[in-house]
Amino acid sequence: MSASTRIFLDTTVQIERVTATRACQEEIVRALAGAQVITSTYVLGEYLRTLVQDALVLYNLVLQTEQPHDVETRIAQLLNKKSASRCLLLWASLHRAGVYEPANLLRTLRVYIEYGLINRFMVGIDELLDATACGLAREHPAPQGETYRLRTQCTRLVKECDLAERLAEHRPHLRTLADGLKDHPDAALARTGVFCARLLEDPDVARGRNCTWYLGDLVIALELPSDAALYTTNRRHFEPLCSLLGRQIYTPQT
Amino acid sequence: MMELRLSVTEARNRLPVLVGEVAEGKNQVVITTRNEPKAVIIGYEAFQRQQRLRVQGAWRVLTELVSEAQALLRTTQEGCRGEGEPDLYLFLVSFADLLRDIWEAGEEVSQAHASIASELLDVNRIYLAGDDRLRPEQLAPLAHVLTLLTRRELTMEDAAQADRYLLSHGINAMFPVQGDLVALYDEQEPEPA
Repeated sequence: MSASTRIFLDTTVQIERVTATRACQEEIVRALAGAQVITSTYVLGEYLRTLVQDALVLYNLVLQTEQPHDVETRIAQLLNKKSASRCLLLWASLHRAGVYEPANLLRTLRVYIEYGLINRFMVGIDELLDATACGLAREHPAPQGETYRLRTQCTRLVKECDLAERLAEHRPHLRTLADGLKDHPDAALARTGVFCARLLEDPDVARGRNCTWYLGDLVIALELPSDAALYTTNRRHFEPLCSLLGRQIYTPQT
Repeated sequence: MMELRLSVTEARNRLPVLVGEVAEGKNQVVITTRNEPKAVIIGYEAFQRQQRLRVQGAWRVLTELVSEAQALLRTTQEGCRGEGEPDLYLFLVSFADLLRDIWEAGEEVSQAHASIASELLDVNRIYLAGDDRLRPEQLAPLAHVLTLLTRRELTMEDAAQADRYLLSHGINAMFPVQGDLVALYDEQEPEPA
């Protein structure tokens, strides 16, 4: 691959390159070899409120559980199943490192939380885009008593990013998406189309919407530079968006 | 300085006076429950002095342990220069014991010292428990990171840099995948200052 190839890593690939299986990580290694690798602070914000936040959840579970195997039961009982699955990825990483006893689990998790996960997010990244100036991307887990606190939610009432301004600059793209997705058979994508129409009227409605994947995917698709290809494991959501926006999705050579 | 022994109830009733007395260094108060000593109230200055002494003691222990670990690494590196494929398993077993103690001392010194010691401890565990074998050429980067612990002032960025440095030498201290993924991090991380 030529060094001029630019690959943008989305949140799913950022999570996988840290916690996935050997085969999956090796595939990512091959895919990125020789390319210029980029990502964004918006992706970092998503990474913090997913994988890093899940490390905090796991830390609390280990802290509250006497037997390590009970941690797995507690993970299974988590209401947020996506969070549970990421907790299991981290749990597998700990076991792969030969860490089993509660004291050692807590010790290694502290390293993950305090800098390990964020450090690995940035490893190998040639450029970190900051178009949205996401306030949550500047957050860091802070010790609180015997555990940690991480702010993962923002509110529309407090302006701490340039998301609305950036979306306002993308009015033609939002129009394209609103028109192209409104009758999409996938209900979630149709909802994205409706949301794009609302953003055309008032870009400020995007602020403070932390838990909506369709906004996250939309922002990532819009901030993706025209000369870069998006590397994601979530092709189902991104393909329609990128196709309408004329952006490329990276397909690793197998 | 007098040592007063008081029950929780007695201490609660006299707390404002007791705080003044311990702050002036007149008394130390031991709080008891069912006549068993459970907690101590001491003046803040005395507390800070004790903290400093504890850290100084831990620092002395840490530097001694690191010297011991460095000597073990040097001996092992010299042993590896001989003929044949060296078996580093015995080194890892001895190194593990030292690293455990280094981590405990590091916990008392600073978060960054504890974190770097923790990285080394996990590297050691990975090679002890996993399928991958430690290679002789990986002893030098381990020695380099170990030497970082002899610096009195370390930051969390130093710990993060140590992780990247190990990674750039094919040592994945945190998220091992039982394989050499150094190609992912093909730009060599500069040696931590």
